[in-house]
Amino acid sequence: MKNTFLVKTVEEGLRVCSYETDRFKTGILSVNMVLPLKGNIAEKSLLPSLLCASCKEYPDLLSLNRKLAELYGAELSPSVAKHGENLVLRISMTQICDRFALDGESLSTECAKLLCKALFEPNVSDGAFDGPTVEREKRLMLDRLEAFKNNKRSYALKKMVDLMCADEAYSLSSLGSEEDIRALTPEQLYASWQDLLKTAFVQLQVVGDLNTEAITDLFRQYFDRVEGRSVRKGETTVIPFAKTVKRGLEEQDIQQSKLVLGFRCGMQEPFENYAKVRTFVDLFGGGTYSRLFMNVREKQSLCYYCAARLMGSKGIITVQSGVETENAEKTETEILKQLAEMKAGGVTEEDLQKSHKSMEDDFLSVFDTPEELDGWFYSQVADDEFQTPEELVAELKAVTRQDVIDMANNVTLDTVFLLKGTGTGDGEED
Amino acid sequence: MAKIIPHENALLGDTYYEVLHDTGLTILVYPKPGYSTSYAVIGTNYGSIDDALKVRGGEEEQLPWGTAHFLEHKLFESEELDAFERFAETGASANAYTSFDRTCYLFSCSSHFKENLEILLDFVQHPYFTEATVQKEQGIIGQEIRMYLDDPGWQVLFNLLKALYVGHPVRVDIAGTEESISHITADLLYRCYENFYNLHNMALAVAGNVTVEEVLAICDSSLREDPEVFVERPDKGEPKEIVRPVADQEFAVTIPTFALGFKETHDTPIRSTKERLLTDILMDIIGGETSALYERLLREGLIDTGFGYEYFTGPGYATVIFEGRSRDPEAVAEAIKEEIRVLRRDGVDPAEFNRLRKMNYGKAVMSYNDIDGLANGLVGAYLNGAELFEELDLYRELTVEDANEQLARQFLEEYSALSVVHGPSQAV
Repeated sequence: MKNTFLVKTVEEGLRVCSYETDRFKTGILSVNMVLPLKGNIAEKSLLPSLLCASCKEYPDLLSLNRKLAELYGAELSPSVAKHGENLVLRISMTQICDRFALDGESLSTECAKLLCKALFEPNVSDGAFDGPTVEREKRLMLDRLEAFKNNKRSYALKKMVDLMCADEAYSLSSLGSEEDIRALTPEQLYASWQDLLKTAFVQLQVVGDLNTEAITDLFRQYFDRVEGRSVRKGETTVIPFAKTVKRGLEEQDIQQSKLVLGFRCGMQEPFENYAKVRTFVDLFGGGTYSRLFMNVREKQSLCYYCAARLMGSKGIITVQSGVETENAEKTETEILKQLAEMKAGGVTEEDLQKSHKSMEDDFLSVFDTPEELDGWFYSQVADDEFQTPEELVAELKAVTRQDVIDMANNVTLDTVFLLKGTGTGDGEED
Repeated sequence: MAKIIPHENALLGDTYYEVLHDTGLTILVYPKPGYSTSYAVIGTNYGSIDDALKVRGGEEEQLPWGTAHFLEHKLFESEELDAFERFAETGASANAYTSFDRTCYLFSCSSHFKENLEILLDFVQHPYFTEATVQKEQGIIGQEIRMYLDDPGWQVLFNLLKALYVGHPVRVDIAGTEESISHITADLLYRCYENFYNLHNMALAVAGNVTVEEVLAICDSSLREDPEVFVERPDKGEPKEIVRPVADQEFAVTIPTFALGFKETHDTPIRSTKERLLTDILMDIIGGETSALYERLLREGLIDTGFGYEYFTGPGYATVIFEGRSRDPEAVAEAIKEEIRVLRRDGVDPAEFNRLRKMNYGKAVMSYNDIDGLANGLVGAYLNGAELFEELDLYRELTVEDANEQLARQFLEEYSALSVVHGPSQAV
């Protein structure tokens, strides 16, 4: 059936999600694998990029990349991310639809095969991955860790989360620790790959003008060869309320300070009261009608950005802003004042309507790109239930003013982190 | 009734329509049946490189750097409800951006399209600036400028442009400097608005769940006639020489960031689509994921997966830029230059050329999904005098001879510069 979300558990630990449609020029096929966020993360997180670097048939990066170029620039992409206290390893293939192939090739079959070969038939021998390839990928992962520090905004956010969740598995980096990455061996990665195939919950996602049935059959020809499957998913601990406020400070020679606040939002488990909390966050610091945008930016001119975001899989709300160092305290006070006013009932019916309309508009745009449809499945990869955008929109529209006030009153400040700029303002001049 | 010109592409199975409206505005509509949302963008041929205002036959007036971007921020305001507040009533998400050569205002929505397009056309036709609102914005934009000062990728690019360009305003940050924007006044904004925001100097593009008829009906009732103003984009007289071959800046970074640029001369104001596509393929041949150079630099630990390149070009400027992070940027720069020397000596390999032509064709097809990309692409192509579908046909016609011929004029070492942003302990 076309133009509809289909979610089907075809066997224990294997779920197939599809949205077939012919309105796009491209198709996306992805394998998303869920493991608990614990133990040695590095030996897991390196796998997607290692598997996308070669396979038995195309045993080095050049031959694999040339094959992808010949498949009209098909993109084989690795990724790794946290979903609450689960780690999701992902390999995706984006390709143009068969009808655009200039010589009538069946691109979708070739692309699906290549994805399966990357995952199930890597370039391994004698119980180990190829040594030089492993060393290169380790180095690239270490460079990613280093490069991450160059983006001051996301660096400050991560430092806040690390401090906030210091005693929780959530503070583990999705890339693994530097020490663990350095110590990885080709044999260890082989064992970890075997473990991934045996224990991960797997979600196969198909979006676009692709044949889900044929792809699923092809995938299972490889998948069913894996012996001794026993699936383990992680449980996410959610802390509903903060007890005391933790504070962190780091100084750097930068021009603008980055202020990050972390709040607990009363959730007892992931995504509890999601629609209500999401609406609160939207009115607090989401759209241009939100309190943070209207007051901290527009009225007080304290910053260019001041935005609140909800991490529903962990029950955390973050607020990020870039400010003059001397205004950091003032900005924090102003953010908390806006929260206090919402707790005291400062939510109008008019604002609620704006939020409803804006989020409806946002969530319905999911249907217009294959990336967003694929992302919609992906965002729910660690959940047992599946919700469509329409279902979420219906829940959001049922949220009342009182719900938002109640949610505001569940919100407690947990952590404040300031990446303090000590820069003098000298760039390179002529 | 204005004439509707269809532009059809048989391969894609898509058609968009072009209309020159009676008011002088060019309207482009790309219907996407089955889509849930619509996206509209209106753009003017006025960006950060326009640091002077000159109407045909008139005197040239210098403008403070960052004026186009400042005007973009302020156009959302009106005497009553500002545009953001009006879009909040309908649920649309609205935004705007300023680039080197244009300023665009946009929204996307899944309902109330008519109302939203009316708001868009209304606020871009009704400026409202006062000294008080201009002053307030200086604080916000000041923070925006400072945010970019902490972005090594942004800094390394502008340091490169300052090393390559002697006088072309492309060397200055789009938002200007904290000093330059302090000279902006409400009067100045009105003057720029009156001239650059002339409908004859603008284009509207809509893509998504719309028909050309409904867009035209809304335009008919929302646009007011605009007498044509001929704004000129004077030639900057940029010499072919560069300022200096290196630029260094110390920064709070852990791995140095670099940008290697090859400046080109300009006999036409804008590069043609064919020149752009050939350059893309040549850059792929030199340092793309299928190149031996890329594989070697990765293997030797000289680059990471953030390595990339672009053809940085617009009115009066064109530079090929290779950029990334490296512990030894000089070694990477030398390796790229050596690869170019070898390519120049041996010529382009026909098999590699065909493979990359196929890849680039595929990437081009991929870009026809996103209505935001399509609408912005339509406006950009129109303002640059190009046609959106042109590239798909061109990919089939390009030959290895074309590539070799173009190679002779490009990637010239004597007009290249290397910009590096490095940490305090990594002095170069």
